[in-house]
Amino acid sequence: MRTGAEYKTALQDGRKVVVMGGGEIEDVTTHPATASMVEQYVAWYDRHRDPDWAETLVSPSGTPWAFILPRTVDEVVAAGRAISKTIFLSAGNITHTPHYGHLIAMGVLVAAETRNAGPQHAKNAEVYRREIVRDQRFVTFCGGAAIIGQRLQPNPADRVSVKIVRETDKGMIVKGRLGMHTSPAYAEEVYVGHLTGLRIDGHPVGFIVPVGAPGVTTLCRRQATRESSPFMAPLSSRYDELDGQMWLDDVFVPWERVFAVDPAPEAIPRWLRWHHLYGWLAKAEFTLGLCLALSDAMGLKEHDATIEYLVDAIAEVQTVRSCITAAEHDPEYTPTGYCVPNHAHLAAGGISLFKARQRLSELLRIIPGSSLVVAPGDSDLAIPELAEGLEESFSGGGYSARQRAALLQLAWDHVSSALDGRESAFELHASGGLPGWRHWLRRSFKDYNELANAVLGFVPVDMPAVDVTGIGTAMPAARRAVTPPRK
Amino acid sequence: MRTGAEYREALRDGRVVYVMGEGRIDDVTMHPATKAVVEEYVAWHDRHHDPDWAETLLRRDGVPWAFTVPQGTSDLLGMGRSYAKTCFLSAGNITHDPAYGHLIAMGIKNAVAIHNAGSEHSERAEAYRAMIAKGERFLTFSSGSAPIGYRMRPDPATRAAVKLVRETDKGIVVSGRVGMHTSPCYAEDIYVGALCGLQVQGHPASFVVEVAAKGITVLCRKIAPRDPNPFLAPLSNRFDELDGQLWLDEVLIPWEHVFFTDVNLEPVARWLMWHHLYGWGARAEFSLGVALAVSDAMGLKENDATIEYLIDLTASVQTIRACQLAAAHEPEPTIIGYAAPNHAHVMAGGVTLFKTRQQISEILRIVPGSSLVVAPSDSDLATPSLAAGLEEAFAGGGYTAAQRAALLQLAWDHASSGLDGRESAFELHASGGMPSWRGRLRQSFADYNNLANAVLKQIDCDMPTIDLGNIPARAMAPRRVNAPPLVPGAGDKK
Repeated sequence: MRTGAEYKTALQDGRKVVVMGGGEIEDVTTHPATASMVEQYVAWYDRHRDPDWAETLVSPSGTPWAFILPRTVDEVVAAGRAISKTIFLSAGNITHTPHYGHLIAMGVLVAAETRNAGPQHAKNAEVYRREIVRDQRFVTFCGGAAIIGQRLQPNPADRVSVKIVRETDKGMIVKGRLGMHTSPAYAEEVYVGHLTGLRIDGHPVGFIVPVGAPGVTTLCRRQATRESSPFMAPLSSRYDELDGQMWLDDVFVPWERVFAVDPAPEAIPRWLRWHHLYGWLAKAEFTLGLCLALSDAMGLKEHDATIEYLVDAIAEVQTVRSCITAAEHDPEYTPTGYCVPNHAHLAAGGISLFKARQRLSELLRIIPGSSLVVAPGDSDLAIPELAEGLEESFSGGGYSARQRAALLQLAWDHVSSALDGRESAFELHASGGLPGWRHWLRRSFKDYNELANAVLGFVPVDMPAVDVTGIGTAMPAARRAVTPPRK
Repeated sequence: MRTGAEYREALRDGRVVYVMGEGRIDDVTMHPATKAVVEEYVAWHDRHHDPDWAETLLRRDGVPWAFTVPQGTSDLLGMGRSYAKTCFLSAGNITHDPAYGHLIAMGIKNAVAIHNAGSEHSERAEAYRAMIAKGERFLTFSSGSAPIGYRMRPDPATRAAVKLVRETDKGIVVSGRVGMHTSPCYAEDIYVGALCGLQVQGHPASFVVEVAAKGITVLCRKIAPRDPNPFLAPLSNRFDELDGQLWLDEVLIPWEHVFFTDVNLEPVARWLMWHHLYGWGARAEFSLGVALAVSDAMGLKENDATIEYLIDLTASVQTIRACQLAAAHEPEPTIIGYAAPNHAHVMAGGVTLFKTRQQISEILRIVPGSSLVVAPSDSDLATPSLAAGLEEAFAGGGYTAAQRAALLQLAWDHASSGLDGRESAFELHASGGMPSWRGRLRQSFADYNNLANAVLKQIDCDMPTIDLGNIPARAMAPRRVNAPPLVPGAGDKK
């Protein structure tokens, strides 16, 4: 297994990274805007060598679950457990990891197999996936959609993110600008999906771009506003995986990194939504964990109304756990035999969580009471003229003022910080938002005709057979079209 | 396993049954108030002899899933599938059947083992379960709680549902009145839980009483108001399992049917909530089925807003399915060695469905549009002066007026009838309603301390270890206590 140090060295590859508001980053491993996240990824790699984590992260063959292509329920369950345990460590904020990257590569493989545009595409995809397993490089995902400025171009032909500058016998040279995706500053490669509109031999294609390749500029969003003190910002000072855009200026992409893929909405993300749901669940579980810890710290664990709030949060967490368990135990299989968590169950869990997200945040703001708002920082506790009064105000019941304040600040950082706001805004778009998940449920639910015709048996009249197949086979609603101003 | 005809014949056992508003029912197999549901239970039995149903209802060794003792996931999946398919046949309205009776019997055995009064009691419970598993008797369930009049009595000592009259060498003789339970006039035995307040030999006691036993009177609720025409009431004409009370007047309960258990009913109900969720799931699936069929019949299957309503329903149905699958795939052991569906998953599904029930009904009222309200009946369609106009008004798009009207009436009967209202009112109480399901989730969720202490690791200072064991350990919320009026004059200052 690759070490964290090897990963860190790999990031010193001459990449061109700009963080909005922070300027160009010479070295992401040392710059204050990015160094703490790099260390989280370093820890991700090193955790695989930690004997305490071996049972959770490493398969009996010695290959990390992160790099197993699952063929059985047991493998899916074990990989899911590894995802769950590692995402919780960042309170659900670090959702893109090398494990996620391998899921992308798995999706590319199956999408290439499904498109069946020629044996070289599936072969190239499998070779690429094996390279990822071998080198454990970190890949992230970009849908390939254009940025707003491109979409507002007067000429419809210019409203695409990427254009082919020229093709050679070794590959294609592309130019353009790609919209939101996550962790490009920390990844080594980005998969760019078919929403670019690029087609090769009549087939929609995706391709891989190394972040450090000549001509690539990564433009990350501004970092989430945060307190500089880790006491005040224990999460946001560490777990801000930066989203970004990517600019391509005559970038060469070799043919073996260009894949003709199935454009169906299930194709590439067939394992990714599973990972997304684990991420959201980790955030929900962390929220519940904080609610529970605060009910203890605030002396409310015997308080009836508080317990009812806790049960509200538990019901949301448990429902998603149930959906994931069902998805893993009742899987689907790709034509070539890979085991995929059942999308119908996942979609039900995702919709349930989309509905509950704001409520969960509110519960965590309610349970601590107004102490959440007025809790002191560690620097306040250290001011001599305040220390005694703050100790009197915030200690007691087995907690020092510092302990209770630290927990309250953790809760605040989790659900009232800019990191929380970013997470919410991101997830409302990242995998299609609630409309996208509803649509995936629509496509993955199997019993439309069976149920519709079954109820007709209760009608005392011969009835025409119902065919509502169209509901389940509809393609996703078109992406929102922006209207360029008239000249 | 007996035939439906044998079951029907067994009901002619001299039972004393009243239906409110109908008076005494001499023969439940013949009376219009009860006959239709008897025939549904007849069909339930006969279905087990039908080759077309064998794959769904029977194990490979020929034993019905209804009478299987689950040993693991595959058994729970087989049992669950048989419940789902059979509950759907009544649109989720017939929730008590002999399969449910066997789950009660398993629960009795479980509760007796937990109370641990002695091996002869466990043997007694197993003997009773084995008898039920032969498929020769239909058992239903009563918690044993008292009707309102008893609970309002001035003397707390007289508020129990059942009192022990005497013990004999053959059994106990009891009198009393027991509150709401379901299908007593169709069942042959009733389990009366320890909430009846009975104490025998120093133990809380529950018991099974034969519906036809001497001294038993079954008092069923009024039937759900329904149109006599099956065209207008295709469901409520057939699927009104009557709830009722039970009166006991010096009834002998043989010792082999007396079971010492804790007063807590949860061990008895260990498998019942799972079955309840299948019943509710069947009702939700039927609602989705009707909504899909109506979207076709009303030409709305391409309408974006309608499809969004359908996805709302689909999300509810699919969530319940996921919870049930998870419950079967992560079973929990019991003290008697039987596999039980994982309560945390079942409870999550139940809480979800409690939240969405009313929305599901409303969506089914929305999707058809106002045609749902003004749809004609078959008699209207047959009226010469109306026929042509109604055909013009309601036919088209591949449906005759009769077909479209029949489907709309089915939707109405499902989501706007007295049967629908009864189902909602009943389920808000039957297994404790939302408060109890939340309480069971609270008790079955296993990660309180894990999660609370895990988040503390994000804090860079030593923190106290948190122990929240009290939250799951808390008892379920106590049953509501009715406050009897103060005795006039008592406590007055003189």
